[in-house]
Amino acid sequence: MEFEISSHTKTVIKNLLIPEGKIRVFTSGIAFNAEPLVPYAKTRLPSKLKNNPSILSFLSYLFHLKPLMSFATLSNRLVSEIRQSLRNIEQKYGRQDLLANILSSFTLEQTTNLALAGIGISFSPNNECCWAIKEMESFIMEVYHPDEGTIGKWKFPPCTLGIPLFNPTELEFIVYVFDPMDYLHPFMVEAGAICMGSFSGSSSLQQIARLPDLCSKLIQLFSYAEQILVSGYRLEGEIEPAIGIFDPIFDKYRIFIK
Amino acid sequence: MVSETILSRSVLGIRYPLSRDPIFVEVTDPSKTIENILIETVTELEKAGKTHEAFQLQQTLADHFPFVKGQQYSKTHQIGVLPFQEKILEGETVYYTEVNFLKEHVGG
Repeated sequence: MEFEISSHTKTVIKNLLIPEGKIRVFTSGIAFNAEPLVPYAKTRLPSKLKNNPSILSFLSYLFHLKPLMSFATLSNRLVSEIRQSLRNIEQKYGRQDLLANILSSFTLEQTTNLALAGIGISFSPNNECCWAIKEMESFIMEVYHPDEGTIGKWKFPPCTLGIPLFNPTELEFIVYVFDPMDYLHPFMVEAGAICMGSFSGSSSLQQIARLPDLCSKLIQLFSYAEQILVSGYRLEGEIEPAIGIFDPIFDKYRIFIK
Repeated sequence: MVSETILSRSVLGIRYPLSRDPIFVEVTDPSKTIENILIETVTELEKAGKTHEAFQLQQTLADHFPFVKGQQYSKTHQIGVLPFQEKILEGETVYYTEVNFLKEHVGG
C-alpha cells in the first residue's frame, strides 16, 4: 500500500530544507541561509575574509552566512511535520497514531542503530498493527551427527522476519516469518510463528526483557531468531522440531547428502 | 581461506547482549582470530576509561559464541573468513560485517 503525503507537508519540508531562491548551508550544527556577495575567482581571498566564520567561499562566490536555527531545532520541526503527516495517514486508515508514536519514541541514535541492524518499522493495514521487520537472506542449515560429522545441508530461501508492535513500550517476545506467510522450515508452526525452543523461558530471554529500550530488544530478539533458524537444529535433544528436517517436504532445499 | 577484500578498509561491528550500540573495530590484520580482536578491544576500552563496557565484553566472552547472520563461528576463526560486505560510507568503500555474541539455543 502506498501512502500519499499531502502537498502542504511536502511544501513545509521543502521550505525547511531548500527555501525558495536561497541556499541553505548546514555547518557546526547550525543551519544558515547563504546569500551570495561577490565572485572572487580572479582575486586572492584576503585572509581576514578567509577566517571569518560568517563568510563561505563556494563555487567561486563569496556567501554571507546568516544563522537561522540549530540543526536540532530544524530536526525537531521536520520530525513534528512528518509525525503530523503520519497521524493524518493513520487516521485515514483507521488506526490512531501508533506508527507515529513508535517512530517518535526512537532517538536519532536508536534509529541509526536499527537501520544498521537492517530493521525497519512498518504499518500493516490488514491487522492494524505495526511490525518491526528484518530481511533474512537465503541461508544454509548444516546438520551434524555427533560421530559422523556433517550429514546434510539444506539451503533455505530468503524471508522477512517480523515482530508485532502493539504499542511503543511493550513487546511480545514472539518472532514470526512475516513474508512469505507459508514459509517452510522445521521450526515453523501455524500462523507463521517461529518455535524458539530453548530460548523460550531462558536467561537470554530474561536478559533481553530487562534491556531498557525497545530498539535493543528488537535487535537482540531478531539475532536470536536468526541464530535458531540457521544453526539451531540438533539431531538429538530434549526439544523436538515441529517438522523433522528429513521430512520429504524439505527435499527441494537439500544440497548435500552424506 | 582468508578473503582478499579484507585488504581494503574493513570494519567489524561487535554486538553483545548488554551493549546498546555496536562497538566498531577497524581490522588491519585478517589473520587475527575473533578472540584476539576481542581481547584487544577489551584492552582498548580499558585504556579509554570505559571499564564498565570492558568488563561487560569480557564477561560475554566467557559464555557467548560469535554468530554472523545466524551462522555460528568459532572464537578461533580468523577474521578474514567472516562474510564482509561492501558498503559505501561518505564516498569511501568500506567492508563491514557484524558479529553478534549470543548464547547457543536450539529451536523446536
